[in-house]
Amino acid sequence: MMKKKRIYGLVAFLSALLLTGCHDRFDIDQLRSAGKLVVYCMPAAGDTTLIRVTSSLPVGSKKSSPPVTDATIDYRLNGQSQQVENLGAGNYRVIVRQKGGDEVKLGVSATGFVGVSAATHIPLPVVVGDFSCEKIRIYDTYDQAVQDELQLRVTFTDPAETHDYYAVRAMRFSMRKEKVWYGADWGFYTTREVAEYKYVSIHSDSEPVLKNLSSIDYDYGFSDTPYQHMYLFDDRLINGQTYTLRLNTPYYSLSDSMAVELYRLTPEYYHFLKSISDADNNELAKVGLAVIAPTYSNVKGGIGYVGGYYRQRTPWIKPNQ
Amino acid sequence: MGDLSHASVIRVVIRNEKTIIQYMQTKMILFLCGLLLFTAPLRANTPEGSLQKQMEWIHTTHHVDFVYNAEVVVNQSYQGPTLRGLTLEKALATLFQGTGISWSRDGRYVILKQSKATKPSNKPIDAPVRQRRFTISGYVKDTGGESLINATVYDLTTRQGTTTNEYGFYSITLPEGRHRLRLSYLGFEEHEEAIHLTADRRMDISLQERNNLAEVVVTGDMNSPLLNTQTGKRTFSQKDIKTEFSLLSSPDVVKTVQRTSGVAEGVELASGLYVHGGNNDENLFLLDGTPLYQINHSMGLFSSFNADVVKNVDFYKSGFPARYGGRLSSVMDVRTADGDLQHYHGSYRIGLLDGSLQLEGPIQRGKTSFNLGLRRSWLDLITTPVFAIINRSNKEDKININYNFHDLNAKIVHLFSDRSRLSLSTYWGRDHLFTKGESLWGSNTAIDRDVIENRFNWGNFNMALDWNYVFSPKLFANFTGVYTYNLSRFNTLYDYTYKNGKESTVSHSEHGYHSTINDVGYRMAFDYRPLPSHHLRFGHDLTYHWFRPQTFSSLTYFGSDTKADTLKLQGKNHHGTLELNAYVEDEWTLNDHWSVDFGANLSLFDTRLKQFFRVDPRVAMKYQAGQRLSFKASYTMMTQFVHKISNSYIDLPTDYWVPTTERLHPMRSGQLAVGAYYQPTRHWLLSLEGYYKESNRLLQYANWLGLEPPADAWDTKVSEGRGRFYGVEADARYQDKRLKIDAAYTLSWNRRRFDDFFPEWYYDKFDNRHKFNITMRCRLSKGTHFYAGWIYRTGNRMTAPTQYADMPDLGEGRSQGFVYERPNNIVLPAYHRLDLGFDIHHKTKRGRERVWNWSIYNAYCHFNTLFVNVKYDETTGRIRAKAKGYIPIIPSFSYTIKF
Repeated sequence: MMKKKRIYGLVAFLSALLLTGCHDRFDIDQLRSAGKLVVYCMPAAGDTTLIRVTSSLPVGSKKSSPPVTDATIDYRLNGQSQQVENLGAGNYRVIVRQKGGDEVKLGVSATGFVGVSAATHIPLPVVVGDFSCEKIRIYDTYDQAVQDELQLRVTFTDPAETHDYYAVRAMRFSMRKEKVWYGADWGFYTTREVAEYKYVSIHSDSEPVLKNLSSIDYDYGFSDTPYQHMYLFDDRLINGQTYTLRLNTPYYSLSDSMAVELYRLTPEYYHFLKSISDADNNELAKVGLAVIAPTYSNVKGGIGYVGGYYRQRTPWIKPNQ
Repeated sequence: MGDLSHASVIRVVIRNEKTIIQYMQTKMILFLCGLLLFTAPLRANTPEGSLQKQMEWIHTTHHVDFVYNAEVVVNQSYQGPTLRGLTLEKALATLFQGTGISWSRDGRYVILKQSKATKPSNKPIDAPVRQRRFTISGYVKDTGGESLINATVYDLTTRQGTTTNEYGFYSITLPEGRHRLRLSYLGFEEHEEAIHLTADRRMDISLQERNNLAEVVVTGDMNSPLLNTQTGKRTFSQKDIKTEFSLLSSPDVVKTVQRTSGVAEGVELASGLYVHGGNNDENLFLLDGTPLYQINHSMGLFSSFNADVVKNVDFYKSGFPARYGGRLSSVMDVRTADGDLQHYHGSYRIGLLDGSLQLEGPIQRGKTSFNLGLRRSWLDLITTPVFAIINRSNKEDKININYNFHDLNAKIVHLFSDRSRLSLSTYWGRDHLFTKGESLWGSNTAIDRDVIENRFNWGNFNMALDWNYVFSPKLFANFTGVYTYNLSRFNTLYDYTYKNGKESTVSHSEHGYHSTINDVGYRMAFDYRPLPSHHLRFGHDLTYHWFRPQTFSSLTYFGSDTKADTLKLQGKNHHGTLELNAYVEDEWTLNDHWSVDFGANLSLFDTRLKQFFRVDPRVAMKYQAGQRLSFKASYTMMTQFVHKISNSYIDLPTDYWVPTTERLHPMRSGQLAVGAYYQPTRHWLLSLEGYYKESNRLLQYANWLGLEPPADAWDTKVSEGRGRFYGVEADARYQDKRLKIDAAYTLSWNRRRFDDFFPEWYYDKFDNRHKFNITMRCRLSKGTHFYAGWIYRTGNRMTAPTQYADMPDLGEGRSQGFVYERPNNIVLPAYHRLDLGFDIHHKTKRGRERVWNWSIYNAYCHFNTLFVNVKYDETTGRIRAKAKGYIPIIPSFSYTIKF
């Protein structure tokens, strides 16, 4: 009898043990790597190029990642070395006249880091034509409602012979009143008018070249929020065409002015921004159910990108003008 | 000769080399031109005092049978000492000494071989005459008339054999004379038949099923990896699928195949099938010859194949026969059972989540039969009243969740004659998910009502009308009309109403999406066996695909009683394509050692805007080093014209299929496989296979957002890339009457490169370097069967950040974020799991068999890691990573009654 009880007891104990389960422990050392130089440099047509140099914080390490203030930078425009000014706090500046088609090479070294290098070129100008802004009433996929929106239409021509990469941004200019506090204990205020320039959201489902999500995705709350309002696209659908972008943005007021910035990007600029936007928006990947895009970099030995661009901004106009 | 069933078959046969072109005067000569040369046997009389007379005496005295082929010259005179009083071994040694004949013993068989170096100089006694040959053909069936696929038909006399095709038909051409045929099939009693062949002969054979675990009889099993020319083929009978363990006690074809070497299962429980590094959409699933696009229920928890009606599954992962095409990585040819032509019987099963019913029997005894399998989940029968009770007690918030799936397989077979057979096979499978949330609040004067509703429906309808006709004993033909319908439908509804007295405000939106595929076509397949050494297959098929991905409709209205905005939107995509395939292949046995299977699959894919034509060569060869050892090699190319577009590793109903467009190219792969197969003893079978596969024009969704790209320009949202996949697979099988053990080990590398995504080669998500799987099935007692299966593999890979860094300031300020430097840069902790199962059989008083099944998935409750969560801790400034796993131990049961 006792023996039987012991057996039952053992079975019950083993069953309880089974149900407790066991979880895996992930060894973070798999991710351990050395800190790297992080370099961002976006040369464009004009005379000033900013270079930002910081260091990364490797996963698993304790140390902080301060800006790199003692970097040695070799900036070459079409093979000619240029003077680089250290502005402090990891910021550097080159002042030299640059134009579309120029080649830029960059080498950065700093104490305690492996030296890095990258190269790019400044794209040729993009020709922007007509621009208009109109208040429309339309069904909005994001808000799932019929509502007033502003439609910005900007026309440009894509060259047929090259594979081109673009970004577009919508800007709103408004005058708003701001409180200015004064008095011994800041007990009084007056108002003043402040000019405000803001990048605004574009409903990317309204424009075929920007549309990356299907309607089902919108229903399920997936988003394609771009990095700092840079809406990216390439010319696969419009190669060689004169094309009008239709950019629907939220409607605020008929008195606000609107403009569009169209960027022609180098592939490295485009791929970097696309990779960080995609990684940030991919909710399935965060739980291991989809591929997460690796962060693009053309900085050999480091992180970041050196990517040229050419920007064209339309004039400011008010809706329905 | 006495009683033929016991007599050894002994004839004096005289040889002379002679080509007989006359045999090639058929239309098939076009395919065999220059290849069909063989030896013509000649006949002679038996002299007195010959070896043969002595062999007859040994046969009578020692009860052994002599087995030898036509080359062995037994019509020699015997001048040696008497054999009386000698032991069998001594008698044999004495008899064949100096005759140029070597002998060996295998049980009651004495196998004779002619030594070429010492071929006797005896000349034929008669003038040479051409040996006549005749064909034996027919069906191998079970006692209920069910045809058996891959059954072996083996002539012990000439040591030549063949297997039945996917309709149970065989054909073997042999020299005139006496032969002893052995018919065998795993799980069935072996049958031997002695025949005197003087003309073409029709012979349908019924085999008796064994009730215990079948003892493997590998010698002469022409479907065994040891003897067939195929590399990378696995065959599963219903007994292999309906094991004592099954997840949620529902036997599953896909999960059975997942245990095979060279196959990665992907995400746990999701029924993924990543074969030799391929993607989940690179597998061709054929159900009675019709393609199946949606192969899962419950997003992978159950496969669409109802094991009750599945008769045979041939699974190919390399060395693809020429008759298959259209997918890069694997072919799974599933055949359903015909239905008993003599008796009514069936079974019903109730399990933890689903139940099934299977019925079969004759409609017209011996002529027409039916087989019906129905399976349905029944959880909704509980959830519906449960939610009704909950909702009754809560007036403000109501919730409803209802999920169910069903599948129905039906097959009718009619035998017009012993040459003509018609069958109609249908499959209808559907999943349905419904969720509804309703909120109601307010006072007597004002009420708010909020309703959110989702409906999903997805599944397949397949139909195949099959006509088999035996044109001649050597030529079997099959004509099939196929229709496939695949549907994925999704509807959402949102409704908000505010009522205040007589005034009301409404906000209402309905969205509907559906993606469909309609395939209609026909197949013509010919199976021609002109000689035992040649097995020709040729045919073609034509399919019209009509893809309609993401058809969209929307109805929206907003406003009040007096004024409302109403908006209706509709959008659709469609792609009509025509696919034509033609193939020819010959399995040619060159001699005792060498055999080769060669052919080609030609495909034409017409998208209206562009035509693609591809020729895929298929070659396999085997070297039979001995009865217990063989070596094989194969090279095959495959082309795929259709793609499943999805952003996730799990099978979602929102996924859709599309054809290759003019902007893209068909995906292609070439695969080389080599293998060694060894049977050290009767109970063991060992194999070692290696493969190297290269795939080009692979597609990968390039945006990594949401669930799927918009279908109207999907081909601009994908990038093309390459894959390199290679590895080694070792398999071992042990089987006796009580115990069966299967062990498989895979060492593999899966690498990909998509330049738009990452400009270097990187490892695939399912690059499981090591995979080891062992399963054991045994009979504990007469009615109790036990299963244990353990799997261990390297964890899946995942992309994890390696750095935390500044992000660029593009005019909106600085920020920081994770940097992902390399795709799939980490390996998740090793996956391991133990599954246990018991079947307890019992006979009821009425003679019905009842089976209790108890299954335990993940018996020691190891929460295998699904992903690693990496977070930056603002307060400590450190990055932390934690493994996340959610699948616990899952016990289940089912109860089956067979009648």
